[in-house]
Amino acid sequence: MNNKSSVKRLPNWQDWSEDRIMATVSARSEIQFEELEPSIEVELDLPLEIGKNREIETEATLAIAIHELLAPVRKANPALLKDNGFWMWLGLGVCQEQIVDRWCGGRSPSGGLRLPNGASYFISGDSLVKQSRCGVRRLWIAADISQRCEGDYSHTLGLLASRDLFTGITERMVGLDAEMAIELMLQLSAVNRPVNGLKVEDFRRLVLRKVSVVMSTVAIELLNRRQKSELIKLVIQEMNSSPIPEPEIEDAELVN
Amino acid sequence: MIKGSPAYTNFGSLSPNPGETKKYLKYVGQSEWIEAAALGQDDAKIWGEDKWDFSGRTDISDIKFVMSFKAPTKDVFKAYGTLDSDHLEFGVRVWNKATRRRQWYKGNFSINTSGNLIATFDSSLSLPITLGNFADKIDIQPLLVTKARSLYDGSRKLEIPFGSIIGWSDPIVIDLDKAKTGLASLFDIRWKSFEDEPHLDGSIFFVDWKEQPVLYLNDDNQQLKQTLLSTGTIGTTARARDAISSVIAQQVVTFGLEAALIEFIQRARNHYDAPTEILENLLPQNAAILRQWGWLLTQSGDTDRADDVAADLLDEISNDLTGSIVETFASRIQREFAMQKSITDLLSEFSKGAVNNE
Repeated sequence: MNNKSSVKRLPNWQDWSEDRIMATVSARSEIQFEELEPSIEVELDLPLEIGKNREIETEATLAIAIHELLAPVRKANPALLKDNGFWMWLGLGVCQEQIVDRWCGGRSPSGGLRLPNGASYFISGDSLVKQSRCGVRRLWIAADISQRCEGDYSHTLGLLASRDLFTGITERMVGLDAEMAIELMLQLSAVNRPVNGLKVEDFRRLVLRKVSVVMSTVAIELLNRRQKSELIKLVIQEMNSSPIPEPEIEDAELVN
Repeated sequence: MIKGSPAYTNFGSLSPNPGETKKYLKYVGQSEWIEAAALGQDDAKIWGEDKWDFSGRTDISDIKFVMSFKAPTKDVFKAYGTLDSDHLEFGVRVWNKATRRRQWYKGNFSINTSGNLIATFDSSLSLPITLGNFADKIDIQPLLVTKARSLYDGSRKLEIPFGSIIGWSDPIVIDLDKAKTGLASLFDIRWKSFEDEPHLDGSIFFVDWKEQPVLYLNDDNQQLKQTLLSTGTIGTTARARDAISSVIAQQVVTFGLEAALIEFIQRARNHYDAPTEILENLLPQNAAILRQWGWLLTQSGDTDRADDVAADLLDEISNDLTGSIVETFASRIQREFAMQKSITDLLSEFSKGAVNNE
C-alpha cells in the first residue's frame, strides 16, 4: 500500500499542557500540524495494531518500523529528530490511537479515555525523563539503542520487554551509552527473583542508581563493551552480597 | 562540575591556558571561519568564559575551537610513577541530552621540559559542531583519564581502574536555547478575575504549581493591571511597575524553590541517586525552577549550571547545612530581582513628586 505523507510538526508545542492534550484526545478534536519547509516525504505504512492486549512483540515491530521510517528523515534533516513538535505530530497525529490503546486503556464506548492520566505519552521534551515517556519516541529510542550497539534490531524486543527497566535505563545519563544500556538490560533482565528481600523491580532500580554513582568517577565513553559489562556485574555482585537499605521507591511507574 | 579533589586522584583540576584558546564560528551560507577576536561587539559576547551563548542565533551554522590546559606533574609522578600516553588519555566528553549523545573525543597531551602536563583539544580534528544537529545545551567536559588497565597510587595505596577520571577542567556549556528572562522563563503569566475565588480574597496573585506553572494576577485590580502592563521606561508608573514586579517575583520564586527543595530532600534521603539523576526525576516544575534559580539556594550561589546546583544542594543536605540557606537566600533573591534598585528608584520618583508639589 502506498501511503506517502509529508512529515509534519506541532507548532507551538510548548503551549500544549497535559489538560489540553487530554481534552483534545478525548474529544478526538482535529489538531493543526504544520508541514516542513522544505518538505520531506515518508511512507507511513506503520504496523499500528498495538491494541489493548498488546504483545511486546507487536510493540517491538512498531519500534523497528518507526526507526526505519525515520531513517530518511534523519538523513534529510538530522535536526528534526530533536524537535519535540515533530515527536508530538507522531504521537498526537499518526499514532494517537495506538498511544490511547497502549497508555490510556483504550476508549470507552462513548469515545472517552478509560485512563485519562497518560498525557505524558503524547508529549516529548528535551529532558531524558520526557523523552523516555513519550509514547513514540521511547519506541524509536529502543530501536536506536539496539541499532547503535549491534548494527541491527536484535535487542529491541529485549529492551521493551520490561517497561519499568527500560524507562529506568533510558531516563538516566548512563542510558545514553548504547552499550551500557544493552548490558544493563541483559544483566538486569536476568534478575528475576527477589534479592535480599527486595522485589525484582526495586533491586533493579537500586542497581541502576549504584551504577550511575560509580559512573560519576569513570568516563564510560572510554570503556569497551567487556569493561562495561564487568563493571555492571561487579555492582550486581556487590549488591547481591551486602545488605541493602530499603528506600521508599518512588520511581515513576508507568500506566498499565 | 567536578569539585574539590577526590581521594582517589592526585591530579585534580587542570588549569586553562587562556592564551592558547581559539574559537571560531561560521555564519549560515558562508564558507570561511571567523575567529572570535575578529567579531564585532554583538557577536563577541557569545563567548563567555565557561558558557557560549548561541541562544536564538539562527544565523550561525558551525563552530570550532582549540582549548589548552596544563597541570604540574611533580606530585602526580610521585604517586603513580612517570606517566605517558600508555597510561593516560586526554580528551573531551560531550553530553547533549536533547539528542541523546554521550561521546568521547580524543585530544593530545605532552609533558614539557618544566615538568608540566600540557593538554590540547582541537575540535576541528574530531568533533564537528554543526549547531543545527544539537539542541538545548551541549556540555563539553575536558578530562584526563586512566588508560592503563590498572594504575597503582603509591601515596594513597589505591588501584585506579581503567577509565577513571583523574584530572578535569571546568566544562564549557554551549547554550542553544532561546532563553526567556525573568518569571516568563518559567511561568505562564495570565490575568484572571479573583471575584469567584473566596480563598483569594485580598490577593493580587496566586500560583498554580503544575507541570507548566501559571502565575495568575488579579484582573479585578485594574490599577495594578495598568501598572504592570505599562511599557514606559521613565516616570512613577514605570518605577512602581518594577518595584511591584520585584516583590511578586521574589515571593513566587521563593514559593517554587521551597516546593522543589522539599522534593529534592525527600528524593536525596530516600534514594541513592547521583545529583543529576535526582534533578532529572523531580516533578517537571520543581526541576525547572531549580535549573533556573536553584543557585540561590546553594552555598556558593555562583553557578547557573543545573548539575552543579544539584551537586551543591546534595552536599548541603548530606552535611546538614540547609540552615545556611536561610542566611544567604534573602539577600541573593533581592539582588536577583533588583529589589534595592527598584525600591530606591520608586522612592526617588516620590521625592521628585514631593519637590514638584512643594
